[in-house]
Amino acid sequence: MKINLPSGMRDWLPGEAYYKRELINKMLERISLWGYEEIETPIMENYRVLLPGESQSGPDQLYKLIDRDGSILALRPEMTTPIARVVSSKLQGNIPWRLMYSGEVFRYEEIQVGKQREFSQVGVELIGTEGADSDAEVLALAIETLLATGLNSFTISLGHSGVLRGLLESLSWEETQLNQVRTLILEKDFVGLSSVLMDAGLSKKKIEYLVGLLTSRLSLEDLEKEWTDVPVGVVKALEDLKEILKKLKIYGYDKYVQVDLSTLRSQEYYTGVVFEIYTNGIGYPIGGGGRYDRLFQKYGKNHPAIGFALGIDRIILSLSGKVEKGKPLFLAGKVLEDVISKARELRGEGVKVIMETKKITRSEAEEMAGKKGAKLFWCEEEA
Amino acid sequence: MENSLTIALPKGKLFEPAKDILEKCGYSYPGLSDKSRTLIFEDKEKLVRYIVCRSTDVPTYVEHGAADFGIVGKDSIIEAGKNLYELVDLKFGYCRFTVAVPREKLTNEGTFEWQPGFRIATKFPSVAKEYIRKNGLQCEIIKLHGNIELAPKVGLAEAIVDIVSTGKTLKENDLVSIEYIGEATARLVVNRASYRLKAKKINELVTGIKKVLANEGGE
Repeated sequence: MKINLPSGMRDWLPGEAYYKRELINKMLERISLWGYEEIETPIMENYRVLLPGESQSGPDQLYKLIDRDGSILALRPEMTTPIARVVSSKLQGNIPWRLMYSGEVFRYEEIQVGKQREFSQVGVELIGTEGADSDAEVLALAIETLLATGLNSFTISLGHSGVLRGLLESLSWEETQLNQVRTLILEKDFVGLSSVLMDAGLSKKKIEYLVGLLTSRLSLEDLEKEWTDVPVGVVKALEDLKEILKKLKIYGYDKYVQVDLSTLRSQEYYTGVVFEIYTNGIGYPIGGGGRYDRLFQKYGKNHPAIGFALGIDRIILSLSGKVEKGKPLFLAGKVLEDVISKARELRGEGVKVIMETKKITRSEAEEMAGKKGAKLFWCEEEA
Repeated sequence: MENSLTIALPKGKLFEPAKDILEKCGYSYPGLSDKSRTLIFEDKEKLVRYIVCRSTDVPTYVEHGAADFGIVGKDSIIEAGKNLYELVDLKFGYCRFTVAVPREKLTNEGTFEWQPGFRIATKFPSVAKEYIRKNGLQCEIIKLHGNIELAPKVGLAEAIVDIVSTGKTLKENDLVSIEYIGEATARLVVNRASYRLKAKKINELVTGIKKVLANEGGE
């Protein structure tokens, strides 16, 4: 009988599930070495709590449910907003907080690549500090976490939400036009962008300059030069990126990073640096994040914060071929007492053991072990 | 992987001009054609692979990273709604989206009156949907895969949304355009990851194409 799963959901079979668990553990272990503490939140939240994390343009992508009392609930689509809720309402003690998490998130997406609508994330939030120091810490931690998974060729693309904001502010246009420009930039439609700017009467030279700025990559040297002909907001964003890059150089991680101002995240809560992580062979980001200094204001607090989230499913895709199962030992013998005590001993040493407690012969045991793909350990009678 | 490049090219009328502009930028391969049975051409020396596919599939190949970049009409991009980098307007393959109706359905003043329950046949349901939404019409959309002009003739639809370049097909089928709702030309589209990971090659290509376009525009 074939039973279908809801679309976008998948099972993790033995082997796969083991591999995923191991991977998540490896990542969390590495993050905890930086003093980050694990936090968990429920999978379901009140719909209203999650709204600040959703894009305000267009319909949200939340899975919604109705509670018994009629109120609307939703499955969490990411972890940052729920964590902001916890921190604002419950967390005692002094800032900064260094928090990490792993968990499943749900997003109803029509065009999500691979059509997965439930996916696992591992991530961190560094709450209560601002400036390039904490930006660089989180970026360096993202790099180390990826290296810990065994992935070693990836690029972090750095952008800054101040670039788009600065650009829009400098245009002193009507709201509808600004929204059009924002959408075009978010959709990376640079052809459309040029033609809208042209219609608005900007000079060809200026348009080429702006589009060029958004589509070219900048090195530290580029950032260090004097920026005079760009809007003030943009200059400030470029300054920010320069400081972060300098700090990452001290970590020795600047080779993993590339400044690319077309990097933008759709969540409107980002206020500073934003980033996306790419690796060979996967056509879409395997992770991302950024600084969100204003999200906490929605919950009545004033904490600057930055974080990242890594997509476990996508990382597994990019690591594919390296799957290793933890093979157990198949234990059997003539005397039951011996088998049980040997199993206890081996498990104490951390060896995985499947016991056969029925009376079987050695050749039967060999055959059963073979079927399981396990190595046989035969307990002989004490002489 | 890191040094190779995969290019998606559309079959049909955009193929020759696309091949032509790539050639001028140093990407050429003998025998590359959309008429052959071969769909993949591999230039082992330069590590470039060419995929020839249906134009409506180009955005999909590029979005998933099966191709690093591709050349495709804006009409296919709009309809596909994919997450791509649209970097250059290649200027060729110009066409317009139009709403057309049978000539005999026009009023004496030459206008068309929409009535609730009218049906629009189209290859571009999302473009048609947007048109319906903007104009507050009550219409149904009938998705077809080709020869849209047939639909009003046999009573499948009262109007069509389609692309036209010369308008010849409309005329031959006694259809008139009542409104143009957008233009389209061929575009260079790039995968999000390739845009970062193969930055150098992509940048060279973009610069090359812009140079070719500037020269042609100046002639």
